[in-house]
Amino acid sequence: MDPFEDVLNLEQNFYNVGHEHGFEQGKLAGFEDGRQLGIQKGFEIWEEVGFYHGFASLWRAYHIKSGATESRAAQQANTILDLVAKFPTSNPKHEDFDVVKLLNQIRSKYKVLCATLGTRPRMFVASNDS
Amino acid sequence: MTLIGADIFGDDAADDVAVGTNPTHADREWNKLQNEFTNAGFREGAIAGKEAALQDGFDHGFDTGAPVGRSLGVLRGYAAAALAIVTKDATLQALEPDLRDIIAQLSNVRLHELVKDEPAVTTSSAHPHSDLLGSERSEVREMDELEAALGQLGSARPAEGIDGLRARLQVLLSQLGLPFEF
Repeated sequence: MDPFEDVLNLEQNFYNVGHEHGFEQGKLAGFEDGRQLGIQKGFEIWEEVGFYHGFASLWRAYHIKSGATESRAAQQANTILDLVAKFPTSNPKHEDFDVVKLLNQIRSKYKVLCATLGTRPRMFVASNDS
Repeated sequence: MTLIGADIFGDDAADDVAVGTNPTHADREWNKLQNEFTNAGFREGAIAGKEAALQDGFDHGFDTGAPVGRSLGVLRGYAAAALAIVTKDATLQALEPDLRDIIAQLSNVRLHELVKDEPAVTTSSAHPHSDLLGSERSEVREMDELEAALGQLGSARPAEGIDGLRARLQVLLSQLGLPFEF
């Protein structure tokens, strides 16, 4: 046992103490930063998907009520609802399918439905496209 | 003359300032070394710790934000479809002003009003490395509040809560003979 080992490792020991403390504090801060970003992104993405869900739901109900379930618009609304049902509520990064692709599919079906209905589609801010 | 015990270097007085025997000097060196390496360790540890926990925090937050966004989005979607239905049919014109008001108020609803957002843990702002540890929370929130305030400019009434808006929309949909299913 080298009696000088502790002295020689002094710098390393100070560093280690600091690192350990910093790592714990960093984990708390990092979790909170990530959480804030996650709330924001989860909200943004699902606000948009929810919009398509609500929009298509009411049009489907409208067509059922008026007995036009075979109409083009009714079928397009059903397609949107089927796609929305596939959309994950947890962080999509962990899913094995392409969420961006699915979102773009829903978007384009929504635009097609709007064209069929003759209404102007909702405009989304650019940040939602990222 | 003997040299034993003689002050051949003429530095008898140096005993008093020798590095090893001056406690304040030794302490200073020790503290300096300790601070320097502890701080360096802390800085790198904090960065590594942040990276290690970021994804976990994101996933956690996503699960919080998603259902809240979804319920607001669904209301906005229903309201938008209802407006299209109402404006197509002249016999439903009477419902349009109320519906437009609901839509305007729904568009003013902000995330921070829906998520009672107390961070799970707070890091002390008095921490010497608070610049490293600081979160961007307040920035986002301030922006949100600013947007909400701007959105309410010109409206005489205070904004309604999302539950009140949902109830009003449901009443309006029932007048159209349509269900609200969510």
